[in-house]
Amino acid sequence: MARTEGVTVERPDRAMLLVVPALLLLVASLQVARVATLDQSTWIGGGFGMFATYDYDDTRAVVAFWETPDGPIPADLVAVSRQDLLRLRVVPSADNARRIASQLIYGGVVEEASLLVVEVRGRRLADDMLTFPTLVRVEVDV
Amino acid sequence: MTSSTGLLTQRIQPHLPADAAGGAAIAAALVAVPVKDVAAPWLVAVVGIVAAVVVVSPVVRRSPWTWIGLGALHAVFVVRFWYRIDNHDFLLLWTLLALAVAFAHRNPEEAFATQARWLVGLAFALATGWKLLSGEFLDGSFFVHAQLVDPRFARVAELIGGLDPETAIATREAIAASVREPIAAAVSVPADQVRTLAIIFTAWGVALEGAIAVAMLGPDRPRWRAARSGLLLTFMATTYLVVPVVRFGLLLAALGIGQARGRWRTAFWWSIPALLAWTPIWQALQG
Repeated sequence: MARTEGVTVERPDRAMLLVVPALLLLVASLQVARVATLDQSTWIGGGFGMFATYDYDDTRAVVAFWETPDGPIPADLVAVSRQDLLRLRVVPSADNARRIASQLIYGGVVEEASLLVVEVRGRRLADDMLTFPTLVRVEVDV
Repeated sequence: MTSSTGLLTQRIQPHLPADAAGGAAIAAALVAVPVKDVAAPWLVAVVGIVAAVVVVSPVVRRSPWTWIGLGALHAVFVVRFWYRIDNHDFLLLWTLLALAVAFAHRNPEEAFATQARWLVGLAFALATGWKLLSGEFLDGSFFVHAQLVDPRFARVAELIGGLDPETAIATREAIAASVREPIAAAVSVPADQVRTLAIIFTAWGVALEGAIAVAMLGPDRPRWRAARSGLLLTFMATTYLVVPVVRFGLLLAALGIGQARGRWRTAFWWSIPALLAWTPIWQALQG
């Protein structure tokens, strides 16, 4: 038995109170692991990493272009699933990028294009210069 | 002599729910908000009706099954849309489950107070941990970037930091133009204009969030109780003055009400109309 503020609470009742905080920690641990292994945005996933880094899903950019003999031509991402684009920005994995590439190819290949490139670009601020490092890049023959 | 605010507080305080039900009512109302964006109209209507019944009916509010049901519904939303929801939707899920546990407990008041304290403490401990581990937060570059790129922070930097609005707009346009090019060129940013304010925001943010984590997870002794509520209210006042995030603010108010006593609890109740009143003013100031 434990005593809290004049109210007697039995140990099993105290143990009940640990369940939800333990669930919070479990989900947060999963988020930490995914950030470490998949470059997942720290802002997303229940780990309370908002406002800790400027490289997150809202600031990451998905860029796609067709390689042609006349140079790269930007691919129009308007027809691509917005949910898939967001998922790619949150978790910039090759699989998620290939899903975007498939949708672009399904929508029609630009004439004379030999390659479709899909990239996710993050951000890095150093010495008053903002750069956009590539987080993932996939190239698909078309 | 009693001030008019003091008199008003004395009149209102007896009518405020004196137990976990106050936080519960707010949490129920919050469940209905995200559902409206993603669910079928009939489900939105059902959740709205359930939330309204929870708010007005003490019997429904005090049943653990109410909170298990709302928690399960919100869990479906969290699992389905995990990649697009904010952290406060996770914290809302933990709050709903904490209410289920509390109303199944022999002492709901104490059970919700303890869980509210731990949930807020863990959330702020994790937030502090991320900030301490992030080199770009500690060196101030996070808030340099935020003031130049995020219009919400840019407005504050213009008002009190002296940032030239045209410079901020030009920086955002340069970033938008560069990042989409096949080869993205680096963009020069006027960090000097916002560095001082960035250092102040950084130090204040990490110190206050760390203090809240320590106070909430520390021992449940009288001297810690005032510190807990005072620090959390300070966080809400200073953070939501700059960037009002209404749902997160209301959820923190609900958890604050749950863990506080007496005047501190009343102060958390007052934070709700304050936040709701400030948000449209802030939006107007943002232009």
